[in-house]
Amino acid sequence: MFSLKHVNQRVKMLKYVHVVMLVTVMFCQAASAEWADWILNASLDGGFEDNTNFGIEKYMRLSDVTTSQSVLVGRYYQLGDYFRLSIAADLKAKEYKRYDGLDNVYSGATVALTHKCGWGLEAPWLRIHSSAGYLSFNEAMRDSWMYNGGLTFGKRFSERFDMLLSYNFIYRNGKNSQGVAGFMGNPFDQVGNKGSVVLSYLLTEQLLASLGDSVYYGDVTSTVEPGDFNTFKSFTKALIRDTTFNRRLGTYRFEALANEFTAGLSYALSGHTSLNVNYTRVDGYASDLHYYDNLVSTSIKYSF
Amino acid sequence: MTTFATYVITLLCLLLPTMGYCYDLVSEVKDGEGALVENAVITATPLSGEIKKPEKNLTAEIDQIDKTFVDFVTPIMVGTTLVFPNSDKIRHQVYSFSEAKKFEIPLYPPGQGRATPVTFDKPGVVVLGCNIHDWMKAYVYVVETPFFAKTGKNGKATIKDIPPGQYKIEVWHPYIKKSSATVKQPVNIGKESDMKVDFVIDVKKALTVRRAPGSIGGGVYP
Ligand SMILES: [Cu+2]
Repeated sequence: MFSLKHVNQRVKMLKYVHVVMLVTVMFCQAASAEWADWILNASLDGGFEDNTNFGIEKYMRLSDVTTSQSVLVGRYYQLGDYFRLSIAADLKAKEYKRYDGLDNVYSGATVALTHKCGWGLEAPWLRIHSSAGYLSFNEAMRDSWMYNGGLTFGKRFSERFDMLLSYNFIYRNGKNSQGVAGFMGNPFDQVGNKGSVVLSYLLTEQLLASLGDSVYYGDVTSTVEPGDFNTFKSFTKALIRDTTFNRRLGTYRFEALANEFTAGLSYALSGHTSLNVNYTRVDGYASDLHYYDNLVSTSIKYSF
Repeated sequence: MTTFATYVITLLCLLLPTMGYCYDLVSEVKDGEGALVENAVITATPLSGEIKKPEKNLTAEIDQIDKTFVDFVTPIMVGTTLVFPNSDKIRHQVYSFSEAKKFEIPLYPPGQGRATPVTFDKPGVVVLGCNIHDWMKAYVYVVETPFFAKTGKNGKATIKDIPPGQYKIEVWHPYIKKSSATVKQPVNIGKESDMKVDFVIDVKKALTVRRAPGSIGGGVYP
């Protein structure tokens, strides 16, 4: 589906968009465009995942308890009445209770240009965004550069109800892994496309309910009991021996169509802070394979 | 003796209005369930239709504190000039699409006197918003009479110094339902039994855009 030529074009475009946006931000700084507001978002999460490795067979599903923290710090610049540029530094850390090889830290930068079509809360808006960062794992073979670019369309229909539609192109560039003989690719070199919709509805003054669904088409990895590696040759070029899960397993890349459904409830503790509960169900399909993952998480979120 | 007392009282009653003696009108506003209603505006309009023009220019202010308009409801008389200080350390914008006053104050920095003041020259309801922060909302209620007051948390409002006479007393609230009885008249200011006018109104369970972050994203304009 993704020819190498297409992928390279998109990756190039993504890097180009990122550079253009960074240059625009620097220009805005220099021209002292009107900064409007700070960005300061923080989140503390705790959760459970029942298939951290996207295992396909039932006995290969490795579950774990996770905690994570994230901070996004940056600024909004207002360019006239209808454009807003934002730049932010993004820091995330995630820990796994059992499989600490998966513990990871992400540091990156995000730039976004938002056009609001008019004033007022019901004016629709369109945003183009790009982010780049480094994802570093305890088990270094998973370390990767992460790139993301896309478009988001937002529309609020009333004080209660709003909708987001987005498209993202995701590119992950793995750094360190060494393929098994006969499989030269790095499973952490991944490309994918994702389309999402999020609907949020305010039930009471404090309680916000959200439903999200996204469809992803692209590369994913699955970690399995290796058995005979030769049997993998028909559907993957990238396979490594993987000790992340405290035993000798194999991780390989394949192309999948995945649906990700999320339902969330958010209770506002104040104007700045909320208490959240989320459930996510991922269902991935590749030829005759099917994997799924259930995630539950609670979080405290803060926004300046 | 009694005749003399009656004479004095009658004389005082006749003279007091001409001597400029004024009265305070107290109102209490509750909703259908008996809960006290904050931010209701009570107005007293003389039935004679005679409204004295204010002697000096009227001014009032709406501040911005922690990305919120303060106050949420501001009643003013027609002709009043509103100033918009910014007590935050970030920038705000103010706009109104309301018939009674359409205007925009472009993005302005923190401090006093950084935004051009706006004069409200027509009666009516003006809804204010900020283009940067969608949840920011405030109401300006522009009235034709100088006699008005807003209820506090205790549901009570006091209109001070009303000259005696026949008045129409009205109540307004940003979330009032049309089914509410909003007018009481004639009310005889100066007559003791008429100096407390209470209202029971139906108020919509209205919501403002929630500001706190949502569970998945969305909820707040980025
Ligand atoms: Cu604002």
